[in-house]
Amino acid sequence: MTEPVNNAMRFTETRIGRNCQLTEKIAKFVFLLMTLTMVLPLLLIVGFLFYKAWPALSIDFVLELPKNGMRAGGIWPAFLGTLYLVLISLVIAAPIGVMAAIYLNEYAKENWFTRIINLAVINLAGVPSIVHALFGLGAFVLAAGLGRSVLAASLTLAVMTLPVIIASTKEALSAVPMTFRQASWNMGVSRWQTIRGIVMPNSISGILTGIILQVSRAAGETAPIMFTGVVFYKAVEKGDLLAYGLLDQCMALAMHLYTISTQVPGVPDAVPFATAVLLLGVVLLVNALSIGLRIYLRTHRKW
Amino acid sequence: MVAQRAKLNIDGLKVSYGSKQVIHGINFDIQPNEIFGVIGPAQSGKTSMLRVINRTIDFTANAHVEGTVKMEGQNILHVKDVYEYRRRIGMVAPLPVGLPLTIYDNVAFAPRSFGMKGKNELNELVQRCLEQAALWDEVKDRLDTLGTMLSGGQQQRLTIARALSHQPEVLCLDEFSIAIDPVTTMKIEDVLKELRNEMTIILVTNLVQQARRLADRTMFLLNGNLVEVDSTEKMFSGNAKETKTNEFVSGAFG
Amino acid sequence: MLQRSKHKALLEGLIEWIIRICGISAVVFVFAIFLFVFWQGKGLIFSGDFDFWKFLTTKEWYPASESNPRYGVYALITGTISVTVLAMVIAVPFGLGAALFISEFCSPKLKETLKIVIELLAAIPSVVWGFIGLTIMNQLIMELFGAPIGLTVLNGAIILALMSVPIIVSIGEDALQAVPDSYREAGIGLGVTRWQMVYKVLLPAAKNGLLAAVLLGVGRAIGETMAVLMATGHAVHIPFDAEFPFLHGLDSVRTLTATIAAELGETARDSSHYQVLFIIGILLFTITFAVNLAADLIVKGIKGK
Repeated sequence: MTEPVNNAMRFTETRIGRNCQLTEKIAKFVFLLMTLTMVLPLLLIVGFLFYKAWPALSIDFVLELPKNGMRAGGIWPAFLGTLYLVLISLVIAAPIGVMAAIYLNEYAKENWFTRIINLAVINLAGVPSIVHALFGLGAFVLAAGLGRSVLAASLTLAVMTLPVIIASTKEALSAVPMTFRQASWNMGVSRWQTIRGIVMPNSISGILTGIILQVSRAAGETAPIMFTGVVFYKAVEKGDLLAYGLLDQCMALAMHLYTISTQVPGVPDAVPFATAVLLLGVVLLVNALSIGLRIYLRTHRKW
Repeated sequence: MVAQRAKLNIDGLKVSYGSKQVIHGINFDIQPNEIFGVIGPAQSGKTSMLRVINRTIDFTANAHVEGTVKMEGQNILHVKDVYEYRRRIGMVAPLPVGLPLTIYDNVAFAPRSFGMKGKNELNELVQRCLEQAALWDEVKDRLDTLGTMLSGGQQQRLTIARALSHQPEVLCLDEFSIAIDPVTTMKIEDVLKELRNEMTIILVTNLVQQARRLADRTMFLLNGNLVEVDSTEKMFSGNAKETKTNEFVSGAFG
Repeated sequence: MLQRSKHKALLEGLIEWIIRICGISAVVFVFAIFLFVFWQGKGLIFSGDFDFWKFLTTKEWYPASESNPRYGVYALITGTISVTVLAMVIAVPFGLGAALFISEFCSPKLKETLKIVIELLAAIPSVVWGFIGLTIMNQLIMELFGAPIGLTVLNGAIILALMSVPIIVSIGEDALQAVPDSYREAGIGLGVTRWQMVYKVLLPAAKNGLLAAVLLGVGRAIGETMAVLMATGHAVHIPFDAEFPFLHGLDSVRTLTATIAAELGETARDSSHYQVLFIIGILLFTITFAVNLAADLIVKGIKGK
């Protein structure tokens, strides 16, 4: 794209031409600056977080229990809780989301009803996280009688991550060319068998990418879990992987960061910074995985 | 020709997409084990007719079909299990398509979907279909290559092999040669001459000479109307019943 | 002839029904959210003590008062508006500028890297942003402006801007990419520079998509909870007045979202305080619904062309 413009510039050696070139350069510089203004603070912030967190970061920090009213020790119960919440919410949201996307891309006809479904997906994606919390409280904690529990919180997170899973799965499915489906239908293979045998195997990586992205979102959200099952403190065994039952309450990393930075006085700086870094690390790692998967995808195209 | 002995019997077929009518009521028979050629300029309804025959017109939301299409006496427009019916029809589309599976899996895909599991059975079927489609020799040593990596001509033959894998009674070809090289076209034409012994073939083509080479009888469709259907010899003799036919086959228009 | 077993056909029919049911799940949940939130707040709405107009327009927010509970969310609404507006003032030019840069002015390799960075920026959890506002931004604002506390509108606005920028950039970039290359070629063919082509041809062509990008950024900002909870302070206060600069960025405020998060834990179930928080939830749901609907209609408008 740059070539034609450079050639044109050879012919603009007039005063007007030079002014135009100047404006061009200024514009490019200004926009570059704007982009960097977002990128640089990010790097500075992350660097600063690390710097302040350094004293407290260690393997023990992850595996130990909090001591001294959260002011020392580790964050194991919170880390475990986040793991539980993420896994359970995805086990619920992923199948429903993928099947909903299959409906929208493979079965739905183009009519007003489909339009409404698509609208609902977009709107569901835009619901504020605190409203999800209220919904979770009203529907799962109270109406469904689950009480404040891991299950209620996971269900709330599932509803929150559902729309994005639907949208990204739909995109992955629609990337499979129509000609493949037609060739399959021509042989008398049924719609579902075509989806299972041709469409899905060739969109699975795109589907996984979308699901993985939601892992990081589920791990990072605080509001939806605050009132539906996550608490300030829960005693568990150090390094115990099976500590929480479905109807138990639990701790979570995101919530933990909130409480120790706002509700507990006298916490040494390193502890909340380390929690923030850990949470950030988990989230960014998962996202990097998803991005890596996408790049792998692109270099291993089958058609 | 006695109607009962016909393989396919089309009566009063009308097809429209929304308010646009593309076939205005046509009647004809197709005999078993013949190569039935269909010629005509673009937008004549040839592809729509094929899509009615293999019922993939069902997938077009605003398509409306009237009339009867009978296969051996049974009206296929109202058949109970459409998928089962589609298996009796093979279809080769104009643009070559290789499914993103290995060559082996391309051909085995349909039989596997219908329940065929035996390794030996499948091996035999894949080889037979690829041989019949004149592709076996070229790919027998690399059956695990992706079907999408083959050339256009190879993919078109792969499509024929796929079509043969579900043992169709009628094989439809829709302008199969427009996107492939002349050598492969000749190969496929030889294949069709062989296949005629096992099944009925409907050959829609824009290459008038191709119909002349292959078809036993030929039908001339113009703008959704049936102009004439007769033995190929007669159609191309220059003395066909309709003037339009003579003009078309001599290249005056189209 | 291979037959399709009745068994298989039935199983397939069942699977297809499950797929259809999942298909409508999004609609079901949107309705369900509205219903369940409304249900928890309905007592207060229908009790006769609740004046919706007063709710929206008065600034006395004393829901926990025993003797004289008052439910005026006006100050909270201005809290939300102030933070959102200031955030957009920062985010929109930078976001659109970055979108333009990525789409039109940068090399493919750099583009790849920048897009990844933007994606990672988008992945940062809101509580971490809140934490950054609470610690880093707090210090910065106190030092730079000599303010007594750093938990202010400005703090929240900067954090929200950094959170909304990724959406504006990615959707804005999509909108710019959607403009056909023929437009660009036509512009360059006339001998104009890249910037002139962008300014005169591209921006007008992409304006709908860019507007949608901004709207979605606004929606994000309005709905954000944790970051503003931690970064804007806890004052129920209107930061606007007739004095320049009209919006006092160094005041502390509280947003609608933060109010619910901060107070829900302290309410007794089914008390009036509890119920009014759910009513605020309905208000938020309605606002973001409208914003998202508008953005979608605008996008459909371009696709329809």
